[in-house]
Amino acid sequence: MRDKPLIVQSDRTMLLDVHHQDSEACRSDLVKFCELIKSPEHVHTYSLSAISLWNAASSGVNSEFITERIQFWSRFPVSESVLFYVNDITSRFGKVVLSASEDPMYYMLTIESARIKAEMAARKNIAKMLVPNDEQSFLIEKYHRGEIKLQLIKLGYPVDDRIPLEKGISVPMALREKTQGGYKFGVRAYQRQAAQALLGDLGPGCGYGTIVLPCGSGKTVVGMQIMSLLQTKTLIVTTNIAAVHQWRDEILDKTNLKREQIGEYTGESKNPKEVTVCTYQVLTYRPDKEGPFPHLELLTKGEWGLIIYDEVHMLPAPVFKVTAELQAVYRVGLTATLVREDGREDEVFSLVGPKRFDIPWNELQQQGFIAEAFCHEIRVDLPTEMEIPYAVGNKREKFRMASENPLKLDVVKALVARHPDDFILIIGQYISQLEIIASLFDLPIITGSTPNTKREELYRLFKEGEINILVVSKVANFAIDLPDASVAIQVSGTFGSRSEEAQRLGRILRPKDRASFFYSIVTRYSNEEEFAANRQKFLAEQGYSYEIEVWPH
Amino acid sequence: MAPLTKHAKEAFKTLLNRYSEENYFYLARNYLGLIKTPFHKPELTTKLCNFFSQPEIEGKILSLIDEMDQIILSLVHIGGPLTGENIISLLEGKWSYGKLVRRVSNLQERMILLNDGGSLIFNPLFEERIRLLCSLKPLLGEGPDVLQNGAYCSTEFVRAYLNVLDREQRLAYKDEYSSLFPSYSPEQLKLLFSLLGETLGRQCVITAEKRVSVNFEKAQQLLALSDRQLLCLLIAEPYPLEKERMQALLFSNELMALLDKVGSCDTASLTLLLRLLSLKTGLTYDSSLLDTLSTLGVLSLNDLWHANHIEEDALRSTLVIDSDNTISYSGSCPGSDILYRFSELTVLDRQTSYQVTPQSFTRGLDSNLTWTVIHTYLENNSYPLMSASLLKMLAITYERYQQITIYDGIVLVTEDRVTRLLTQLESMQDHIVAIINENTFLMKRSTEMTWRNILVQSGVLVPAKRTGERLEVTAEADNPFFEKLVQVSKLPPVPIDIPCMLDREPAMLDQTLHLAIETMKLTKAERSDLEQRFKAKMILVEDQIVAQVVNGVIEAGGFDYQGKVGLCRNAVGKHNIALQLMLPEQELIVQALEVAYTAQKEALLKAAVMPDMEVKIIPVSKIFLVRQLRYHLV
Repeated sequence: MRDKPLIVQSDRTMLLDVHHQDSEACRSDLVKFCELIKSPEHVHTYSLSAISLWNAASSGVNSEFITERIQFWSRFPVSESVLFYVNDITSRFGKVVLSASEDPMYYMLTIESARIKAEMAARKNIAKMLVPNDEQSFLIEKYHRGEIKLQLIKLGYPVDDRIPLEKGISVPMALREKTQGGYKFGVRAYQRQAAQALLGDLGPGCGYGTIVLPCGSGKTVVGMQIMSLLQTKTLIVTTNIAAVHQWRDEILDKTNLKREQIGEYTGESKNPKEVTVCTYQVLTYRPDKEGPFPHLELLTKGEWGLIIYDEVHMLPAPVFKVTAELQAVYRVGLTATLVREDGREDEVFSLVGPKRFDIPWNELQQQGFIAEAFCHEIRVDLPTEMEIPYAVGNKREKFRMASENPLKLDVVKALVARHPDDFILIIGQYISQLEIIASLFDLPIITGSTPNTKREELYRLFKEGEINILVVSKVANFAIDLPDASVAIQVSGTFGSRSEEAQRLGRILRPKDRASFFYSIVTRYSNEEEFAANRQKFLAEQGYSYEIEVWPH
Repeated sequence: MAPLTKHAKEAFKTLLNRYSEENYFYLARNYLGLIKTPFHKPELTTKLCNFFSQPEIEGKILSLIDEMDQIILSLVHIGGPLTGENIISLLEGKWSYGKLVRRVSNLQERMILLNDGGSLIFNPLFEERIRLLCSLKPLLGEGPDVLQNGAYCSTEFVRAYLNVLDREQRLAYKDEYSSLFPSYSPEQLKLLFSLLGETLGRQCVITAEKRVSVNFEKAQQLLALSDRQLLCLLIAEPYPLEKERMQALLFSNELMALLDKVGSCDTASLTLLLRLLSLKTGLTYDSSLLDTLSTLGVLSLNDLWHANHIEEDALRSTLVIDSDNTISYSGSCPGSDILYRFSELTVLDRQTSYQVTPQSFTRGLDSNLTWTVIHTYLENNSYPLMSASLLKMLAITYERYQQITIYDGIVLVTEDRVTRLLTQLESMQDHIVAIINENTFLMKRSTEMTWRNILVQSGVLVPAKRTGERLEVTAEADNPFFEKLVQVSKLPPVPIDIPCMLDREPAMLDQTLHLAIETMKLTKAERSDLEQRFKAKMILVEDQIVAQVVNGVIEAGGFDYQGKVGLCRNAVGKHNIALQLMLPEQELIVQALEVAYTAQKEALLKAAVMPDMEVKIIPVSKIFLVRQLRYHLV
């Protein structure tokens, strides 16, 4: 056993002892060819996957470097199977090359060996996209670029895409050194690194991918940094209108773009400009269930030089398909929690692009870029009269009863009293429950049915400090920036959703001069406890631990 | 070189004196030259002893050891005293039967191996130096001596297996288990689950009735073994008789020590090793042993058989408890470690991880662990700090766990007087499971007869049980031999002093001796005899080159019909003489039983064909060549 920080497991996961003196140096090597899986306090888990290795190969990191680094950092001898995997998988990169063809309607797919060519031709879903060219190559129609890459990745042969992305219409812009609001502004080192990791040298294989950063760490700034580096016509797709406005305001505040250059494409206003911000909702809107999506053309026909998918883990299925056709465009996915309960993370990687940058949450917390947060799970009993109805209810009814446990109101009251000087969000799943809370404590409430103007007004009042408690439904789960919020009280949630829990915590992670507190109120001895445990998994893997408090009767 | 001990010399003389007159004088005349009569045998023996005690003689004898000799000697070194038949049978795949017979006899003629009551041992005069010439290879093939880090059935594996079993309450293997054991192939894992299910079931470490349950007390004893000892136990356990189990334990213990040194070998060499050790330990060789070794991961096949590195003392590191309640460590836990009883395996690998969940914690409590024990365990073993949130989660779960207690026992409702007896009688205390209230006691079901007796003797009239429904009480399964098996498995590792490979100079005959034979004035028979003994490496110094015939005619062939008949007749009834017969399509080694004649005066040899001793009648005219072999020098 050597005094090294890394343990290489047989399943190709790598465990990094973060307390080891060389852990930082080791991490800087690992991020070149591994994917960060989880980062709790002591041992961070990285994984070698086909995608991470091919991604490394496309950035010029070869198997010799990878095996040498793994062996150098490993505490124990590295298993032969792991080294074989690295060599085998990386050797597949470059066997299928996508390049321009003489015919401008097509790209050319050159295949190194007859065996791979035969294997491709034998797959119906691949063969239908292939136009025979010569012994070594096929032609493919341009709009199949994403699909063929996706299918070939599934087959185990990543495409070495040597066609540079199209530049798009030029839109000169720069980041300000002082915000419009008069504050000093600069892009943080990790934000700069994230943008750089995505764009690389702007050559083949660069310019698309996913950036994973904790909530509150300034993903919007990373987006703007990329915009300022590319200076091109940009479409930003985000989750809701409030987020659209936030993007618009941030761009105005921190770049030299003018209001008339920034357009909004939402249900309320359809006004595309050089930089346009829209919602997933409007893109996937269709008047009838079987009909086409009329607004998807905004994506396909907008001649965008850059598309930013905000909260990319929310990417809806119809957008997946269109994204596959938009492979010639610079594109970036931004998210804090690339966990999808539908397990389609891999498709996000394939279509938007691989994970290019990821950083452990606790690292940014230690550096002061996100607030220190204390998580509490408060367990409260069911009222005695609900015990029997709960016992005989079905699973759904039980969850509903537990979620809407009326004794939670006492806890909310006490917690609000515990934080008299804080800005508090009370977040829940069930509107009826939230309405009771709002009316009981005379608090403003935002739900899906609250008109956008009213929402904006309430957000503004909260930001300006005129109200310090806001009751919100799941509409505020994502992309809502309320910088001063420091306490979140979660009264109910969407079953075991890990990303929802993390995103809700994210609402209070903007760095500020005080610590943040996240309270999750859970009914004791109910199935809500199990769901809560599942919800907490993602955050637990990021190093957050919940202090459990049993609420006295 | 250490001087010869008196003991070694005496041993040599004793062994030599046990030889038959014929063999004794054959050797004496070869090594001492002409022996004048009258002779004094003790004197001759001393002379022979002195002859072989000379360092230059010893050096010459040992310098003539070639690769085949070395392989035979290494075999004897590993296997202990072996009979000539044993040696020949073990090595028959490497060389022909005839060649082996000749070489084993030759090693005796060269006084390297001596006969000791039917078994061949190293000459006590050179024993230490012969040992230094032995090596595991090429006896056991030519593969590299590097151990692999393959997955094997370690105590950590068994611990993880029991954890999975306890959680799943079923013995059958499920494909999804492979993600818990990534270093094991799914095929091996499936076989290991089956093997452990059977073995641990027989030993009642697990019982599989309606649900599978683990006897953690027995498991603890099992897990206190080292990986090597555990593997030995698993190899030995299926043998039904105690004696066989002991033999199998010794067998597997030595096997693992040897494999540790050999590293890798081909199938033939491995089979040879298994047969050799079976012979040594008295175990009946069973070819399915190879499958067991492969399943257990002692060996893995990848062109060659590769021995896996079996960890001896990789003590468990401190526990790292992360915020997701994952507890991880590297190394091997002590037998008494309890983590696997209150957590769920997430991965068994270089770094092993378990996760503590309310459900797993509850299972731990169900298996008679107490909250205090778990708490203390976590506190004492955590690094860098105890996880407060984990403790809180466990404390809350424990509180919930305590809300209901299910007892199994017999409820005793008593009057005050009997209550006083029950609470005050010392002998009753072991039989009370719980005091439910002032006059209601829960008594042990298993000791009902005992406490009834105590009550009767205390003057209580004890009535029959009042039952609302029939209770089915099943006796806890047990295997009384388990503890003994664990005890005898605690064998220390076998020290292996034999090197894996030796670099040796090739054996070269001393041509000056040959020249001396050639130039000496000799009869044809004498020359032929000397030439034959020279080639057989029996001529070591010029003093041995004297005009005499030690062996007489040993070969006749071609048209020398009478010569062939004579050799056959000469060998009849002599157990130490075998005949090598060259027939049109085969070569036979036989022991001559009788020479008879047909009516046409044709000689027929009745012989037992070695090694099966099948009797055949062979016309001498059909034999091209007859060669006489000194078979056993006894």
